Amino acid sequence: MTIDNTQSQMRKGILEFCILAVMREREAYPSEIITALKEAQLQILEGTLYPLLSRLKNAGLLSYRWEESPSGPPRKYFSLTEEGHRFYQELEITWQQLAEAVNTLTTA
Amino acid sequence: MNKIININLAQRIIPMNESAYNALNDYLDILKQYFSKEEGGDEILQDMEDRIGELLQEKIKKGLVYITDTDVDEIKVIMGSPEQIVDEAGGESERNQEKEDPAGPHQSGHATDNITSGKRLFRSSSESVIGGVCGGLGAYFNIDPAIVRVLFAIITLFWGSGVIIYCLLWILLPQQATPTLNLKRRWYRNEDHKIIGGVCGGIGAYLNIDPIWPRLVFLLPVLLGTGIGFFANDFFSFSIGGFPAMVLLYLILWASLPKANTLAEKLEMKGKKVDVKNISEAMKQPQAVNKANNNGCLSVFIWLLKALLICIGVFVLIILASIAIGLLGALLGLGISSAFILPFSGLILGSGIAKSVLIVALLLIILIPLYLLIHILVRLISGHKKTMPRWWATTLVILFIAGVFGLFAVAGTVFMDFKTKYSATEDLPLQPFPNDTLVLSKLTERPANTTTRNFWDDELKGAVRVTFEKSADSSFHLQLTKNARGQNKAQAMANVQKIQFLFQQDQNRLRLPEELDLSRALPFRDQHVVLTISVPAGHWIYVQDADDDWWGPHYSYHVHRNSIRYEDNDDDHELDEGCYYQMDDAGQLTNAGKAPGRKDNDTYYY
Repeated sequence: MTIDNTQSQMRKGILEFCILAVMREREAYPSEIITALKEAQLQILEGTLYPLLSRLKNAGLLSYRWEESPSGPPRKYFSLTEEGHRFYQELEITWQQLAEAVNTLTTA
Repeated sequence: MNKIININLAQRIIPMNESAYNALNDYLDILKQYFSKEEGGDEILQDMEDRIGELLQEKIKKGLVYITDTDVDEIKVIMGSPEQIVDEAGGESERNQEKEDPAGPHQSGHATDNITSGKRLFRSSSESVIGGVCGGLGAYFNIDPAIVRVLFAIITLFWGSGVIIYCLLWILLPQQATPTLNLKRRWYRNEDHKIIGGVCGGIGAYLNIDPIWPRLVFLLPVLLGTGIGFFANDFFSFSIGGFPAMVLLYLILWASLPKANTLAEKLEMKGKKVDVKNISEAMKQPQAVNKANNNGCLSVFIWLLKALLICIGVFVLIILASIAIGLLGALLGLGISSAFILPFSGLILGSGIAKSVLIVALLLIILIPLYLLIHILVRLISGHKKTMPRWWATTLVILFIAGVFGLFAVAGTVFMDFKTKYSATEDLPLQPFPNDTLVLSKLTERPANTTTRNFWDDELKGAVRVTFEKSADSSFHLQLTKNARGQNKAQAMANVQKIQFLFQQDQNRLRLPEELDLSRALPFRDQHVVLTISVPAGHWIYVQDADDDWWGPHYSYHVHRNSIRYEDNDDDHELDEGCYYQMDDAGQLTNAGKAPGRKDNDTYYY
């Protein structure tokens, strides 16, 4: 058991939750999502985002539309579907519980 | 010197030097390998390309003239290696990893549910050359699909059986993305170390030995043949037989093995893990070029050898194609030709039930392969990937087997009907006549109560045989042996008794039927008769044509002589029409020609 491994395991569990969180208010294209995650100090390999987006889309939690970009080729704007919103609500509840539990344990 | 090329990456024009281009290309290649098996893998890849393009363009916008290796390496760090991505993104593939068979740890996407519920055999949509059958088998047994392909190609040499098995599996197996194989090495053709097709180079890389060894094995028959062959005959014949076998084996391998194209494949071939580190290492190594090829004389020789092998290869392909077509044809032909027996089935089959069974069985045997053939062709042409539902395929197979079974059952009853043979011999009355010549001619009228069965006529012509022997006394005699078959002796005997042999005698003229007529109610049970004509020594047989013309001008009577005496010669003699034959003391008939010194021959009969 290495520290790297455990850290990455911890991050992995919340990655989808974080991605959905970025889009819960507004739609976003991949670069925006990455920027948002980085600004929040979440360390993520950029390549990781794409398979996750694809899977969330295939699961019916996300949908996307194309939009012309002022610079460069058109962008793929992702947004949460209704099911995605419900899914996010559930995750948020779970996260609150987890965070509380962890806080209790670490501060006790 | 450094070449700068403009590439179009996700609709962005980006200048980069050649090595950066190669590095990026390889990186995208590996990503492709990892994600192409996942549902929506193409899309993932496109999005990643888009992002890479965006990142690179930002660099250009900041004033960079062109992209270099360092920039590409930076991109790789930002995006991550496929392993890192899979590790971090996890997803379906990872959650199931522990439950899964170790055979398929990289399984990803929607296919997982089926895999985890137990190991099943699929056609692989991800490892597919023709129909994905070999890829699926490889995934099932966790062996390199290349090996499965080679095996299929080899068993195809045995009367095309590989093609049949392949088609059956193609029809029966559902299609599915199969897990990436967890193989240490994969078998490719190694074109970096090639002399002819890179087959030996590939074997060398696969077995981690110098390609010289497989080459020596392939050349073994020739070496032995030319070396030791001159001293020992056995070795020489070994090389004669071994050389074509080795050529064939080489061609099969050449045709079945994929070429190692990308760096990733070349790494797989050598059993190295495909990751960024190994790839960049491999790229730093100079391309191994076989220098030996470059000297003139040898290269001409190799070129000739290659041309020869390609010619043989085309030849073998043509043979294989004709085997496949022949097999399909034979399958259809078998059905169709049996269908032509139907008109005679009343003759052969005793009961109506057997006839109905025969018709149904034949329809099944003809129509099902035809249907499947059309199904496959339609699928090939339209590129429609959907297999037929399993229950339907199973039903078809069961029906086909039932058809074959029915055919054999009918054949079995027929066989039973022919089991016992019976024959009875009787003397036929012959009115005495004053001449010493018996004139044989044909009986043209048919008995009133029989019908002509045109299809069958030809077959029954052999049913009347005439043999000659020396008469014990001084007059002609006729003896008839009737033969027939039946389920048991009683039936065979009854069938014998029902044989009607009708002939006419008009003084010394004997009119014989050429064929047996079966009455309508009588099935064919190999009825045949042998008419033995006893001719006194010194007496004559004259063969006369029938008066009518419907047999044509070349009519000659088929006659078997006493077979015991003619054992050494060929059994089947013909007595020519218009000729006289005299019986000698030894019991042999000798041809005396058209006018054997007899003054009365013209006046004799007419």
